[in-house]
Amino acid sequence: MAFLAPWMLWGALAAAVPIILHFLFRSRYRRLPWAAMKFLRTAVEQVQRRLKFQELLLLITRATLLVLLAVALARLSSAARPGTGAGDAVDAVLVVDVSGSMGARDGNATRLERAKAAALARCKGLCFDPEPYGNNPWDYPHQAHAREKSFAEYQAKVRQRGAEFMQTILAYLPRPVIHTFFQLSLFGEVMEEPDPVRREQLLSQHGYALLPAFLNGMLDAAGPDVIITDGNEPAYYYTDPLQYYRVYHLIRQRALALVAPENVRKYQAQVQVSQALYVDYVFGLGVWGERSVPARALTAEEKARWFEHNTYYALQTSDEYVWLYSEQMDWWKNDRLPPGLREAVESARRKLANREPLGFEMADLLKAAREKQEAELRAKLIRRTATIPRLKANLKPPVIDGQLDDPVWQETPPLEEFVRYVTVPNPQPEAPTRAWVTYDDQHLYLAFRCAEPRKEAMKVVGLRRDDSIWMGDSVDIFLTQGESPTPYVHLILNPQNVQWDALHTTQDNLGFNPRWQSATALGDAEWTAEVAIPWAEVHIPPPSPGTKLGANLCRQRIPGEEQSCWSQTISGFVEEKSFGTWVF
Amino acid sequence: MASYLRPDLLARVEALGLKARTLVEGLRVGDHKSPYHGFSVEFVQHREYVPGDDLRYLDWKVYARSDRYVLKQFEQETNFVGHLLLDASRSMLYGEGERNKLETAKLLAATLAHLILQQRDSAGLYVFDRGWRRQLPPGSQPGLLQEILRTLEDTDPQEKTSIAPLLHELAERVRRRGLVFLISDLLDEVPPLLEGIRHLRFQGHEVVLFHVLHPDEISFPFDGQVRFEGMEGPEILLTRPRLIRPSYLRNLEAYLRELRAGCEANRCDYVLVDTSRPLAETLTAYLARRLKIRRI
Repeated sequence: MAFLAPWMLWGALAAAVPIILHFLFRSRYRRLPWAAMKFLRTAVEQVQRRLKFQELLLLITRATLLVLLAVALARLSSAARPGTGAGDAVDAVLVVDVSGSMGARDGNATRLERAKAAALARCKGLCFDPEPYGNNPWDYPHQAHAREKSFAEYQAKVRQRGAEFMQTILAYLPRPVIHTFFQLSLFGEVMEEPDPVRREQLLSQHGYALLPAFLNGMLDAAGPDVIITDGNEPAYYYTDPLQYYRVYHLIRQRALALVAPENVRKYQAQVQVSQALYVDYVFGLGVWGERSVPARALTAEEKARWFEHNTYYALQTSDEYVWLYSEQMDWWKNDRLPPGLREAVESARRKLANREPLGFEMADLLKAAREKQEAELRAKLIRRTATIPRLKANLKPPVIDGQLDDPVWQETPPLEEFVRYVTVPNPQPEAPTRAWVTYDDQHLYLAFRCAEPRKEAMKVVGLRRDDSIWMGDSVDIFLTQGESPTPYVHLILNPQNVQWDALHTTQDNLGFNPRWQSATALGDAEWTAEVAIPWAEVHIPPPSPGTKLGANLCRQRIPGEEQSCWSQTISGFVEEKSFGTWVF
Repeated sequence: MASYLRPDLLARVEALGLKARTLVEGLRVGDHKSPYHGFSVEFVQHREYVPGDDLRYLDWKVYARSDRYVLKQFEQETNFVGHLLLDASRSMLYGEGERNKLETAKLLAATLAHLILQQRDSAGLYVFDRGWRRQLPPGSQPGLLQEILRTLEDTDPQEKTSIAPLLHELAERVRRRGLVFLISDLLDEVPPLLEGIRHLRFQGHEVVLFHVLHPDEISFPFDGQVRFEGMEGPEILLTRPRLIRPSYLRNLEAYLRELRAGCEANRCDYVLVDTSRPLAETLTAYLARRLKIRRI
């Protein structure tokens, strides 16, 4: 019971937030007839441009209600009474983020409103999730002016933005705890590089290349009362205490390589390690119940023990805060707690308070569970192999116009119908997808026919190349460059003919932009696509008879939330182990 | 003229006239010279003395030579024409009470009219927005001041501003050299405006720009979330003024700089009228400066 009470308290606090937000965001403005519109208009335009970046950052924060609950480790070890769960050792940091649904696009209002809302709700601070759910503002090579402006110039600008971001928060919250989902914890590989020049190069190629500059800007403007956490989101999936210790060392020590010299002291004093717990993942709730995760192979008791394990080490390796993420628990009413969760947290806290060891390990058990899971599922997979016919000499290559009326498509037999993930109870999709593949010495040709009985519910995402088109209706093409599963080319196309392309080696390289032709067409109850990929562009030699390449074709369908592939996968498209084989 | 007899209107006119008088009286005393000699004091010619003329202007040297009483006549006494151009567009309506831009502008126009007519020169009033709305041709007849005051009182803005074409038109129409007072918030494009001023200058007019701005427009002191609704157009901007304040001020500064430099280049006087400052103070300072430049 002692532990339950503070939860209720958080619920009450957090519940106040949406109400306040609601009022704040509902057109609370003053009307003012104004004469000097001229200067105002220009000023708004200028500032809007300048703030766009920050707005973007706010937009990308999660639309999911998110409650961060924090467990004060420092006080836990000193003041908490062992065995009681000591409610007074728990701090609510805060935060609700509702950006997407709150129409955060409305100019420069939101960022302030959010800080203000947090202030009004007497929150300790706010949550900042740097993960982009759309355009990636951190990715340097994809910035609009990456060609004219150097990485250093971009860093300088982003640093300035970070400072402005911090200043805005400080305007309303003089002593904020700014909880970020991750910061420098993400750059382990970059930090390993001892040569500063090489390090900058490595960093500039990183998907979050500009994030350290933003943090440095935040530090520039941070007063002595600001706390910034590095939330180390990857801890969601930890199974071993070593992972916690390593990342603690990384954030506290090695990360200094990415901190501006003048900010090192601030970083050491004001940036805290905070570890993440992911309730849904560990307990196999929601989507995690359908995917290949250890939870599926664990008993209820084992799941609770895993959670205790992670809570114990998270608390041990956090400076002050441990945070929890869940989309399945009801944070407002404090119900739908997975069985054993409360006891697991209480037990971990008690053991730490008494300076007892945890007393058990999870890594081996989890590894075994995962392997068992995967083996079971893999055994059930429908693996495909197809012979890809060469374009006949008497046929012309297809005209890439999106219409599948070319003679070549009439003569080429289609590949087998697409099937859904093996983890889904019924692998037969509601809307079938067929694909045709042929080739000549210059090109690989593909055609897709995607039946769509609910065209009105389709969602097309993205306007420009490499936008997040994979968030909407789309088809994916995977093709290995040789016989081994990696490296492989990954192309995506949406119904509006927007392309996305990447080369997966050991790392994902989104800077890979081959020139490939494509066209799409919208039919009555279907959409179709035609693609021609020059072999030279994707660095694959034109196949000679008998060549084998790993390949898969997949389709995401938003209307039925349906994912299907030609060669069945376990629970995603990017599974090179599940690729089928094309024999040319 | 039923409106002339409206008691409340009369009271307002009376009040405005009185205020103007107070201001003028105020200008007479103090350290600086009386503005009665103020506007254009180039010696032009002599004329015979008639009883009643001010003995100060008798040319004693001529008397010594020729025994004739002659008055030195200055240009101002040749009856110069003061053209008062008053902007009565909707944007001038900004501000509460005494700080209202239009009220300040009207008071300024009345004061100048009083000043000009008091020294027996001609004054004309032109009220404009995008076109001429009221015109009182220059004159010096008794009762003209009352007429001007009444016209000012009657002025009720409805339209948006467009100054430049009017300046060109005026420059073409009024051939006789005069003094043009332009009283406006000048929320218009600067280059065409300067073109208009240049045209007037080219025709030999002297131009004085009274730039009327409200303190809100100068310092942009707003906070919170504000929906700015354009007074001269359908434009609406919802924004947080605090965020855009630096940028706004920079834009304003650039605009003022451009305006001032343009005035400088065209040798035209520029006076910024901040409606929160007492008008007497602004006007006194200007006239004092003017006396210094032109007379000494």
